Amino acid sequence: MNKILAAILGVGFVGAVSTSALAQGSYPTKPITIILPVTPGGGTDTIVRIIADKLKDSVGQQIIVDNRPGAGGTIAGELVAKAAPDGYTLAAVTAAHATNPSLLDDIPYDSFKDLVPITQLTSQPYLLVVPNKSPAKTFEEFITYAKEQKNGINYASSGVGLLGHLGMELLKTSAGFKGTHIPYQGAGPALTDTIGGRVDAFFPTIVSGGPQAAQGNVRALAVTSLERSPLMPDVPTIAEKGFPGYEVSGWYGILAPAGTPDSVRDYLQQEIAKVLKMPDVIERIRSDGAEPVGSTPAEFEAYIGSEAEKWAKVVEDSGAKAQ
Amino acid sequence: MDILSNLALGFSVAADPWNLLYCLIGVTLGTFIGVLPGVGPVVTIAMLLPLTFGLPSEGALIMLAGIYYGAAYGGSTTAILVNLPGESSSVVTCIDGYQMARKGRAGAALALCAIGSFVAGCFGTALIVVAGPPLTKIALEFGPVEYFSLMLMALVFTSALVHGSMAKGVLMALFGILVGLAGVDINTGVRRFTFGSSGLVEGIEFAVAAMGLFAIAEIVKNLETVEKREVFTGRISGLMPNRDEMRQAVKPIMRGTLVGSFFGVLPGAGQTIATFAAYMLEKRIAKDPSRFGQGAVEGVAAPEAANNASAQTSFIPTLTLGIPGSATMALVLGALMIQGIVPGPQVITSHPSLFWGLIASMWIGNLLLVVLNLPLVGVWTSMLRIPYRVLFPGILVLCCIGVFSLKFNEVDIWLVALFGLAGYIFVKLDCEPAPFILGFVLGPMIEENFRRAMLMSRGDPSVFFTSPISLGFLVFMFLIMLVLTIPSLRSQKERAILEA
Repeated sequence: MNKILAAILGVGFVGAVSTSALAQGSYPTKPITIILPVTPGGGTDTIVRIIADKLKDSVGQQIIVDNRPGAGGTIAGELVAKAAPDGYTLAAVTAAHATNPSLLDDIPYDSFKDLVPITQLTSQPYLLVVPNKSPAKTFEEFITYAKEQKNGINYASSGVGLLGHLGMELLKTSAGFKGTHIPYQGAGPALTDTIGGRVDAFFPTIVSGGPQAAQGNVRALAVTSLERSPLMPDVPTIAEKGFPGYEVSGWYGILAPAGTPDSVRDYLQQEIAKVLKMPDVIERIRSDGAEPVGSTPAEFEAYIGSEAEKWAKVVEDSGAKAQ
Repeated sequence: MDILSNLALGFSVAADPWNLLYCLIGVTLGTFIGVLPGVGPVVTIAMLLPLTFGLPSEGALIMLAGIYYGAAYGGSTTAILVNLPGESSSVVTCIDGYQMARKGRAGAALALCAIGSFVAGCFGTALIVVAGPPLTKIALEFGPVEYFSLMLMALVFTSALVHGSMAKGVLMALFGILVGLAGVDINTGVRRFTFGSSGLVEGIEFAVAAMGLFAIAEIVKNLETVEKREVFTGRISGLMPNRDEMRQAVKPIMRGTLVGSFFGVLPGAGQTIATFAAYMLEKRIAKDPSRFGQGAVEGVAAPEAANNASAQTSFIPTLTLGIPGSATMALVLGALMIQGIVPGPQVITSHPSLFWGLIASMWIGNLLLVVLNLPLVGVWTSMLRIPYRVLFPGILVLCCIGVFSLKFNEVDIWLVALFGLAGYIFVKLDCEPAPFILGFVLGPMIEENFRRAMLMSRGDPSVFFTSPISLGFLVFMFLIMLVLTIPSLRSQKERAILEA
């Protein structure tokens, strides 16, 4: 009983200190570190660095971007989950944050309890592409073709458990066709075999698949967002082609260690949301085939929850989890 | 010809004084970072990438090309001087390059690397211009089935043709495969051989294995025999290759260039196979194969030429498909995104000055490297005059820094020590580490392509024989194995080895 009381008092005390500190306008008083689960140079890294660069000016402190790739993002996640909840150590995460708990058994922290949301940065749909020699010219024809294959189609993905894989599994069960998952290490080799006609379908991001479609190396049949992408307005959505609600979106977001004061989270969310409205930032995010978001912590929390639930079911149904 | 005017445009971009300066800075920085143990081109480019953020896009890309060349050369430098390959493609350079250095010909070996690379680079550039698009069609003919057979053939050849017993070579390659398979299985996500350590989930870095097996094992071995090492440091004769060495190197450079050009076009095979293949070819056709492993000039010149030719021709699939042919190329193209340019096939049409400028500056970077290298050869070789008791702790410390900088994971440092111990045991057992390292690199790729081919064919192994390319590789492999195992020929091979 005394312990509980002490804990409540303790939490209240810490909260009071933090809010008063913030009230004096002192957060942030030192550089903020954003830990990234990816290597330098890729899409996630680029977008986070661009946002960090702008955020530096608006919060008046250096933002250090620290790349800690490995173990499906859980190495970076663990560092942040176990960091002091003072708003000086943040995590940039990808959609894997919501799917990891259903795919991995040994995450050394609780994805949803030890890390709390600040804001969703971007939302990034996928593109359904087929080889030029595929008989399917439209999405409907693709579904018909896929259903006709007695042994099922072969579809590529950038890696096991990634959204391109889970998204196709979701489409398989929704549309009722069979397919064998052919995982690759990244989108490059998967695209090469799609162009070469060795696989029947692939879900690349718009930024990697779009240019190949524009060049006539592959055929783009549909996008996986609920609305059509402004980058490819002629390509229909899967949702509008008879699968209402079908959506596969990659995303980036910023999280903080649990216990980070609400005032700090709200402050960071507001500053980041402002950065996401800057025209040059919007342009850069769109060039990555994504849309800026900037949701509140509560909205982001709800989104992560619904994504986790949705993909957990797909993982369960498809047996995508490592046994 | 359209492509010629493109190349002219490229050279006009690359020859801009500012761009030349960026290229020079890139080559210099790349060389100095690249000589750090275990730091190959990919790591160097990743480390120096932020330097290019403020530059105009052409300048940034040209500087990266310079960094790439510098780092690749830096990797060869450590391979020759301290038996430490910076990347998997400089493993073979270690074999004879280091022996040349021990015989006091470090300068010559370094100069041959630069010259061989330059010749190969020129040829590679020409090949892109003349035959780029048709060669891409060949690359697209290679699927998992073909890659599997090609890699299996490469592995079998290398392990069968090393010094000493064929059984040892094959067993070392198999051991290498086993170690290479540690980490997440890409088909299922299952963790294999990780022993519950998060440091092993992504598999073992090439640099970790190479550092332990080559550099650490060599240091331990050297410390056993102090006097021998002093002979080594005392004799550095001539910084440049002499006439004899040049003459010996000409044909191997040509052959290495051709071998490298072939493998460079295949995005899945890459530079490592190219270098091993070039080395094996030289050894096969040499009048006296026993010189290999003892500091043969051909054993340095051919693989280095092959390495660079394949680096250059790996642009061909990139050129027509917009899909990078290697990890390095992926990083360079990824740098375009920082500049706000979306990588892909449209880059060539929408930013021709950028793309052709890059190709031209790869060539210029190579040229600058030769120019820069001549005075630097003296600096590098003088490193060998440092007393060994001072040099080896330095190498050890740099190894630790280099390996820690890969993933900030202290497990990797322990692994280097473990591989060092393994390497020392291999030396004592007279087992060569080269087949091990090739198995380590190719094993996971062979497995990946085999399982992918099996998934696609729904488990039917006949696909390996119905694809003409794959069948060709397998038949060739079988024939060579037959030749090697026929007793009379085998005793000949043993006699040749005994002479060594």
